This record gives sequence, C-alpha cells and structure tokens, in this order.
Amino acid sequence: MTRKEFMYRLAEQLLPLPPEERVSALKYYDEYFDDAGPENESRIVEELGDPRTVAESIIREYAQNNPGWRPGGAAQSSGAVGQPAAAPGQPAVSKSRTWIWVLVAVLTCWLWVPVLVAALATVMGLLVAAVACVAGLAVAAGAVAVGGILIFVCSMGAVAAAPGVGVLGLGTGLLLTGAGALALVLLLWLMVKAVPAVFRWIIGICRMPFHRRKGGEQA
Amino acid sequence: MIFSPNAALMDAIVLSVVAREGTYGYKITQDIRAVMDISESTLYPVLRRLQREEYLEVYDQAFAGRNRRYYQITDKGRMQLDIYRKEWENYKSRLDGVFYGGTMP
Repeated sequence: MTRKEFMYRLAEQLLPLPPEERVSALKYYDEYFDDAGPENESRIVEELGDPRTVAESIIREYAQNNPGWRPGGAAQSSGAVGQPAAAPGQPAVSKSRTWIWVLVAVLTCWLWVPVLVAALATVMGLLVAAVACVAGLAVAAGAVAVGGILIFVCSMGAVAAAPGVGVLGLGTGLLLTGAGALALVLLLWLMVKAVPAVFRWIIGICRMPFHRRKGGEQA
Repeated sequence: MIFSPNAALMDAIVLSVVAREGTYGYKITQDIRAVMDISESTLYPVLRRLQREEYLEVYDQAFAGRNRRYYQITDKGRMQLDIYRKEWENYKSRLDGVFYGGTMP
C-alpha cells in the first residue's frame, strides 16, 4: 500500500466520525508522513498496518470520551464500535454483513435462481458440444488412418499388375495413415491437457465469491 | 518487550515527553520508541484524549513551508503529571516489594 492508498482507506474508515474529528485525525497522519520523510514512507505504512485497525482505535477513543454519541455516516461497523465495553467489532462486522447478504439472496431468489439455472444449463451444453466436437474429430482422424491402411493393403496387390497405380496407392495409403494417426494423437493430447484446465477454471470461478471478503477491496 | 503500558501509563508517558518542550506527533512517537516498543498508530488517540482532558493544547507553527501541529502541556496537565509521577513511585515500590522481597500486601 502506498501513503496515498493508506490515507484514502483511513479516510473511508473514519467516515462514522464527526467531520472535525475526521479532519483532525487525517491531518495528524498527513503531517506524520511529511515529518517522517519520503524515505520512511513504506516502513511507516507497513507498521501502521490495516487502516481499519487504526481507524477503530481512533473511533473507540472518541466514543469513550463522548458517551451518547453513535457512529454516523457510512458506518462499516454497524454501530458495534460505539459501545466502549464491546470488543472491536472485527468478527461482528463480518457476521452482520454475511447475514445481510443471505437475507438479500433469499428475498430475491425468484430473480436469480432461474437465471443461474439457465446459465448452468448453457455452460453444460457448451461443454457437451465441445466434447462431442473433439470426439467427432477423433473419429474422423481414426477413419482417415484406417482408410489409409486399407488403401495401402489394397495397393500392395495392385503393384504386381499395375506398378504405377500400385505405388501411387501405397504412397497415398501411408500419407493418409500418417495424417490420421498424427491428428488422433494431437486430439488425445488436447483432451488430456484441456479437460483438467477447464475443471480448474470452473472451480476457481466458484471460489471467487468466498474469497471476496478476505482482504476487503484489494487495490 | 514483555510489559506494555496501559492507557493511564501511556497518558503519563506522553505528558512527560510533552512537558519537556512543545513538540509534534512524529517526534513524540520517535522519542517514546527510543525507550519502548509502541506502534506508530498508538499515539494519536492518546494525544486526543489528553487534549480533551485539557492536559495538552495544540498550536500550529510554520515549518519548511507547511504548518506543523505542536502540542504543549497546560497547567492542568502539569498537575496531572505530578499525580502520575507519585502514582508511579507508589506502583514501582510496591512491585519492587513483590519482586525482591519485603512487605507483601
């Protein structure tokens, strides 16, 4: 995080405070960075740590010395920090946010369930089509190879009777066999590599909503 | 560092540092960090609290083309610092009694 990012996030986290308090705190840290000098900037950002924690201690001090005040503005902490006796709301914050999302999801299920089902069905259909394509190509390649072998075998008989035609047939047969076999090998290699990769990609997408909460917004 | 100061002790430490001369946030933090391990973010809430209790007052002074916020101790703050010093002597001798023998409570 840079100084700018830290200060931006700190300003966000301090929104529950009255404006003069927020301005005073931000001014303090701006001056702090200025006095420390640019050479100390990254060390200080690292030592200050999470802007959320810094903001919580500032808000807690204000709440303790101004009883009866409740956090206003875009309170991320849902008021948990306002009570001096309560522990800093880190676990409480995530919990109440989760419940809100669950409630929203349940209330709007009639909206997103059909969409989700349709999307899944489409994806399934596409996957099946892709597999069918590859399988079809593999069969074609196999047929070409087999055809090549047959031509080769038949031409062997013709070599005695009509050498020119016979040799041509042998060559063609070998060519087709080679081409068909090569195509088949390539397709098999593709299946072996591509199928696991596709699965991993799908699993990665399914994990995304659960990772979102971990670091807050990642810059 | 095994022992870390509680809120009252931090108040006393900061008051002591500011009592020597009017000084600013970054310098106060560095002075304290010279003798003990505190986080860079510890100081601001303490300064705020001391200001609210009117033990400290702030003034701005121009420095290198910008304004720098200075803190200085008030008379009320000096009286409180005296109280903290006596409390500390008391605390220290009681703990010494526990650690090195002598009268136990």
